[in-house]
Amino acid sequence: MEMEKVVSVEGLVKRYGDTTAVDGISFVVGRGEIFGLLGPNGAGKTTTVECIEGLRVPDAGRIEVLGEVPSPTNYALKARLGIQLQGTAFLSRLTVEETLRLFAALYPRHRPIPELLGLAALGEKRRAQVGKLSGGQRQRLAVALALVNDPELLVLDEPTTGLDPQARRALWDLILSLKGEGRTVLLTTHYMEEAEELCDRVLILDHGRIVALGSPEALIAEHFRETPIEVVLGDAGADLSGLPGVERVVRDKEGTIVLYSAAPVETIQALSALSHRGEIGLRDLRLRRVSLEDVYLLLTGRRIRE
Amino acid sequence: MRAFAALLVAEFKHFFRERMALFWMFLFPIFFMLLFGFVFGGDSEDQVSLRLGIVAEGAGPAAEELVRGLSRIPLVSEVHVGALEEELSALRGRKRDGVLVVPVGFWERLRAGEKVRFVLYYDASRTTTYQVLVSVIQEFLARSEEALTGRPRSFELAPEPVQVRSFRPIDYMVPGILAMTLMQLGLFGVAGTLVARREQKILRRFWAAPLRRSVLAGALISHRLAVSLIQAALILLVAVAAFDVALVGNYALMAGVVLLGALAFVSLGYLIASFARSVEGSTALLQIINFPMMFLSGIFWPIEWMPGFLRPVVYVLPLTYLGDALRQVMVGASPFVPLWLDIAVLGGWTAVAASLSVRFFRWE
Ligand SMILES: Nc1ncnc2c1ncn2[C@@H]1O[C@H](COP(=O)(O)OP(=O)(O)OP(=O)(O)O)[C@@H](O)[C@H]1O
Ligand SMILES: [Mg+2]
Repeated sequence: MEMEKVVSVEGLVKRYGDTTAVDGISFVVGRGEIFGLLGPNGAGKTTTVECIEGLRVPDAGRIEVLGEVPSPTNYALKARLGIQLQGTAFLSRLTVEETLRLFAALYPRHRPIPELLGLAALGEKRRAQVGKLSGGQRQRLAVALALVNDPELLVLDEPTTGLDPQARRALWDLILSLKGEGRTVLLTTHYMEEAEELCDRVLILDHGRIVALGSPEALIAEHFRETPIEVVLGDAGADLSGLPGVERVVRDKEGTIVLYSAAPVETIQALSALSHRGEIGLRDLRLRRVSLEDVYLLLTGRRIRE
Repeated sequence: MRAFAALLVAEFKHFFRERMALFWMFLFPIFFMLLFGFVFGGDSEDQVSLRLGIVAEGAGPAAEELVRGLSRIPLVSEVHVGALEEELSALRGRKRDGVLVVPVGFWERLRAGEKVRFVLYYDASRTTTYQVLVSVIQEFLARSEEALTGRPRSFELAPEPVQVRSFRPIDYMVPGILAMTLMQLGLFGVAGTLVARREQKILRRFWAAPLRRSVLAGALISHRLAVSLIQAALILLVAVAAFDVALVGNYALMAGVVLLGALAFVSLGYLIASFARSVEGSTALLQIINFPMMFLSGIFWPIEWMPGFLRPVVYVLPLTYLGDALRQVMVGASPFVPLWLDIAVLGGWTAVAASLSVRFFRWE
């Protein structure tokens, strides 16, 4: 792959006491890429991005960001990064506009404040105190603050969490337009459709280790030649792994059973026959396209049966 | 510099918009002082009878005439004649309201049209009394001279303040309340704020910016010092307006002691924030420090009243020294320890707390 590296991580390890939050991961992010970090709660996403931002010091491994080694005191590097942290707060009695101005003053250069207000759709709320914003509005402010210094690399930790569908769409468009300007975006997310829509490449983490890395299309192609069939049963116990065409059965957290079938027509016929004979209580059946969701479920879901 | 200024402005806006905090930090000490002052105000100054001491050694029979004249003034309740030392100590003991020194040969010299200087000692801590006293004596001397010579006055009244060492409770309290306020501004205003901001990850976002921690810490410290000065000015203003507390110190020295005290407790606040892990933990820790300081440092009652076994505690508390220093520079109270020692102890506390915080303070 011919690309200019903006972030390179090699053998990153970070421990907190007994927990190893990140366990020897390596990856690179190229200039102009939108790179997504996915993984369940506690997988080590925040730890990874905060090491890249220089907010946490790794226990082992090497990180290079924009040609520099991040550290708590690498101010020159921090000035070039646009950072949105997971779950930060701001001085609650300052207004939106005052908060933007305050952070603008902390960086050597900054985007015009009205432009930032426009990008985050906070124009109407500019005189509202931060403590009185809704959760989604505060999240948009956090993203606007990541843009305040006109950064080369944006590191966004769950930027769309808590946003309504419209605001999420708007943020996707914003991130895509940043990519259009040649900026690089590293983001974490729990939304698979978001990763599929936005990211050039994704990295799936689990228990601090990489379980998959690649473009969403490549990951889907790598792991699935089958078609997912989702079924909901009245009685949970039935074993469906022996049905014709079924290669893998995954049960997700809500109790939906996903049958990955190489011969979907035969599988569905067998299912309906079983249901007809009353051997299973088939409540619902859906056929769908394979998505990143399936890859994620396959790689991180707890109950995987072959 | 730009970052520092922006942070400082932000601190001010944030602080003055925080109504509850503003009430507790700014107004509560003043209410407390007003309440205390009205309950234990001590001798009120609205008494309009003056007790005069006259020192007239070698002034001759004319002086006796003067004394008789003074006794006839309705506002003058007592006139004592005595030696200077005696009368001054009576003034210090609050047994006189003023001591007038009649110069030798004043009668002849006035008649000859010479300038004659009458020194009037007064209690510097009682401004209302002082005003009445001066106008009464001024008027009396003018009238006497006019009767004698028919000329415009050639006497000169020279008021001399005397530091009266016996205090009304409120005189003792005002510096104490100021000391307590400075302590709480440092402890709660700094430790409480920092721990909460750390827990809410507010500090973390600042730290993600290319901002030196010293600038962030410096802005908060400067803000708290400025607030301390404003607070001190406010307390003093109310103390003077409501209770006529006489400030005898020099204002630069007073501001210096206020700043040093504020700095000592801001440093202590940082130290507590270095060791407290959560808001709840810090609140408990702050109270453990706040209460003994309030009651054992002699800010509400003289240290001499405290039982001997508590003395060692009294001697280590920084508030003891801030209270003592403020009483000395504000109202001229008799020292518990010399002022330089107060300043040295506060400076020592500041240095120790500050260097420990630099070493142990955690931003996350
Ligand atoms: N400051 C800390 N001290 C101790 N343990 C920590 C700390 N921060 C994170 N951890 C632990 O490290 C692991 C990884 O946490 P991390 O925040 O990186 O996960 P994450 O992938 O961002 O999760 P989420 O999706 O919930 O945000 C978790 O087990 C977490 O409990
Ligand atoms: Mg996280």
